[in-house]
Amino acid sequence: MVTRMEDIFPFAAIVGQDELKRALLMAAIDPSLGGVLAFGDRGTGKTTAIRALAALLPEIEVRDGCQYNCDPEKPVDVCRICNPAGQKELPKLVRIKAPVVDLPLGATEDRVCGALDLERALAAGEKAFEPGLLANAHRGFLYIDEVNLLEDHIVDLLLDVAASAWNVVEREGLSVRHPARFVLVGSGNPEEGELRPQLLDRFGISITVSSPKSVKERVEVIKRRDLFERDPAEFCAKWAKANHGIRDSVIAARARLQSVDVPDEVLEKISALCLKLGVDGLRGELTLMRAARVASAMDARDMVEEQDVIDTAPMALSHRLRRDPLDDAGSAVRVERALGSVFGAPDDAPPLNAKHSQPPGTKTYGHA
Amino acid sequence: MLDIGAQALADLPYIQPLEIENPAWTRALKAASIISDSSFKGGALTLNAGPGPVRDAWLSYLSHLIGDERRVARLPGQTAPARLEKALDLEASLVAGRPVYQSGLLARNTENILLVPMAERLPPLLTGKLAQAIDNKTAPTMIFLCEADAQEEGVPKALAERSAMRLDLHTVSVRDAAFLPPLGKPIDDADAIVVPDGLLDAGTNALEGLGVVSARKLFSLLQVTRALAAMDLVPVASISHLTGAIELVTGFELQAPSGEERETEVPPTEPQSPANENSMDEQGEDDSEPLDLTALQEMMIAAKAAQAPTEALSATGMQSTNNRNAVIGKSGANRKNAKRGRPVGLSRRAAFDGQRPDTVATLNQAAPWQRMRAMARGKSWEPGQRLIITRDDFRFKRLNHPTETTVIFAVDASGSTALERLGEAKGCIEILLGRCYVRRDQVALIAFRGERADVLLEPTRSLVRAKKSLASLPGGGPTPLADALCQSHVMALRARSRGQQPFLVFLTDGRGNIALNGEPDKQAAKDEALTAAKRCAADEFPSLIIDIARRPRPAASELAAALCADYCTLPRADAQTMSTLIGRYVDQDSRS
Repeated sequence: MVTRMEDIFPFAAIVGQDELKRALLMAAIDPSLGGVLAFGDRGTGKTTAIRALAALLPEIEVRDGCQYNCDPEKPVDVCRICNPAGQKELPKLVRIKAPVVDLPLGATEDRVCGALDLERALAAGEKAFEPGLLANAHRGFLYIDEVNLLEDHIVDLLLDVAASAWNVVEREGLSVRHPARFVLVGSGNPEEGELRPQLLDRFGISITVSSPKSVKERVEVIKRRDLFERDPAEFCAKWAKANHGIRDSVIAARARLQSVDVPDEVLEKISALCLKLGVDGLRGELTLMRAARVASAMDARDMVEEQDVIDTAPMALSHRLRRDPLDDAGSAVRVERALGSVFGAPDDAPPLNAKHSQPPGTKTYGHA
Repeated sequence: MLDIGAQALADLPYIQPLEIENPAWTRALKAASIISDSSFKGGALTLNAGPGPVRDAWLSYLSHLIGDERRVARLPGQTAPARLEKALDLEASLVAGRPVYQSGLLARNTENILLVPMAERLPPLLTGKLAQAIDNKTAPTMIFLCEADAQEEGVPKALAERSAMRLDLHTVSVRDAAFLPPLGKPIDDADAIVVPDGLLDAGTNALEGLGVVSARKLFSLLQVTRALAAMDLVPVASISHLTGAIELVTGFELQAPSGEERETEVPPTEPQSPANENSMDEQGEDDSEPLDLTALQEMMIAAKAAQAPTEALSATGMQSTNNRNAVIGKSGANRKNAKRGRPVGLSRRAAFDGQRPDTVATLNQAAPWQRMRAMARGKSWEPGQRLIITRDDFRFKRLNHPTETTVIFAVDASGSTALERLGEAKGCIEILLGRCYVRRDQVALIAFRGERADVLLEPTRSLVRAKKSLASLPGGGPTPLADALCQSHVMALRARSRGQQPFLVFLTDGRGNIALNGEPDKQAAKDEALTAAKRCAADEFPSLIIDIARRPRPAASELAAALCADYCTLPRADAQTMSTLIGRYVDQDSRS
């Protein structure tokens, strides 16, 4: 699970995939957005992007050897490293990069939530808790490749923890509660099975990733990958400046986020949009509001504007639309239409968010 | 240097090598050289071949190539996934009274080549772990042996995607394989090979033409091209290397257009060592004139024409057969021994190999005996002492998960009302899929018209895929009913082998007029259909015949009798009625 810094492809060097990169950065700036769901074909750089992101983000401070990634200021009770028994010294503080934990397909509930420490139970007859992947992912990312193939009960559990930021284990005679605040990133290929709508709804934002359309871009992808494979250190050094630029903008946006306001008229527009699209529940509206705030923070503005909503609506809403068997139009198109009517774009105007909508004729995954 | 050719012949004394080499075999040997190179970063190779002397010859060639320091290790399909990583050795720990760890299979073999036999049957958990290890570069070089032929499901998609090369030895005969060239020099510094930009563009285009757009495959193409050039001892890769690489990466054979002289094309057949001077000459040519890419384009067109698009896609693991999905957790039909699902109780025996004992239950079981056991060993007992656990104490969780159902539609697409009917069947499929979110059932569609029955939709639970595959449905023509029955039977068997419960639905009037050989022969068609139906019935697949004739005649009910199927008449088979009807059967199934 531990990879060296130089083994990670620089985030800034990823060719294209702007929407994916933007979505990941947004989630990194405001983890309360909820998870990111990236649907698309294999080999489109989803895995690369998420790993790259973690390497780019500001490092976190933990105590050496802590398995829960405790915040040194408020360590969790169950952590034996941060709460040493007796008069022992606290281990020293170290800076590590934000963890990215891979969730293997077929991981058991024990492995995910943590379970009785078998080793100590058998060797010393001691009842101790062995933290699972959720603890490891605290203050970082939990990445699930092929989320649509994951067992339903594991997905339920993950989304539950991701939403509450606490992992509560009440089983096997254990009663443990520890924080697990992470950004959930799921990826998958919809052709291999879809997610249940209830689960789709729990992801904050969703995007569709496709292979670069032009040969030029694709060639660029392999060229960079090739340069990277040959000399990772040099390649990373070359992109370090660009990477730092992105990191600084993430830090700046995080700092600004608290002061971003959403005017009432924008909130009304958001509600109108969700009503128009028939998005059930309030989660859609909340996410869209948060996403718009992140968007304006990324733009270094303190006030959310309509354009922020227009830019982020497809990501925040397209996976929440109710499936209409008779409407073959992609969900992105439906969001687009609703945006048009809510924000009153004149008919002859160019599409509101040409940047994020799909070009006509591309395949739409999904949630139509 | 070993003369492997002679050695292989000694193994097969009665077999004379053929005069002409089989290009597939030459390619396979090149792939062996590439994959055996320890600096090759590609990682994995998929080898499609049945067990036999050809595969053995290839493997023995490979093991000679990798020399004595490395070896070919095997990863059996039934390996408990936990064995891949460092893990607590439970038994040893108990004996030693302190934690004893077992290093993982992957870590033990980083220098070796890991052979995965029967890769098409790899359980999903193992697949996931291997794929992750390849991505994290913690996996050794792997070779996935796949014994499935083109019709069946191949290597799990996640692994097919991560295989740099793909070989098919089905077309290689024993006599071809008797030819084994002496080992060439090991590949030296493939990274230094220059691949001209134009070549890279052409390769990207070519792969796109074959329906391969994955960046992983593109990167493999670059690496294989380099390795091939390095084998020819040239500093700059040429079009012939690219062609060779395309063949290795996609597994397709590109045919050189006839009537043209292509000395730089097609894998060179001469042994590599004397090729040194020649290739330097060729190199000179390549430098002096711009890359001749038209030849490649022509070959691509020829390749495309030869390969039906679906084949092209399925072969590279890009689309088509839904195997990855299909294998998930269904390796056994016996649901009492399910590997996942809800816990239904405890048992003293593991339900499957590698099952972890339920710790608490085990400890609970052991706890009351501690004092007695300690005393039996002549020691006193006090709290905090180490537990004595015996074999009888182990308890395992029993899991239960409901069987999944695969509904297979076989729709009569012949005659004038075909289009309408297909439309309704399509609607019904979409309704069923829309409903099976929670139930996780699958639906497949076979349409029969003209000379034979076609699988229009492999078993899937994806509405997106169903919509895509069903967008255009052909209709009209005569009725090859017998073929439809055979195809449905095969599909049902496959579903059952994955542990699913197949349910066959036939929309037909029961009157076939095309025999299995494609000839219009009413009597033969009828007899064959009834035979096929009986054969299907022998496997006890639950099935339903929906008679769609305006005025039902005995043909369909006879067929139903032969098939031991339920029979109903539904002259206007509309989507809603059908889905309600089928839903009733399917739901009943899942409850039983």
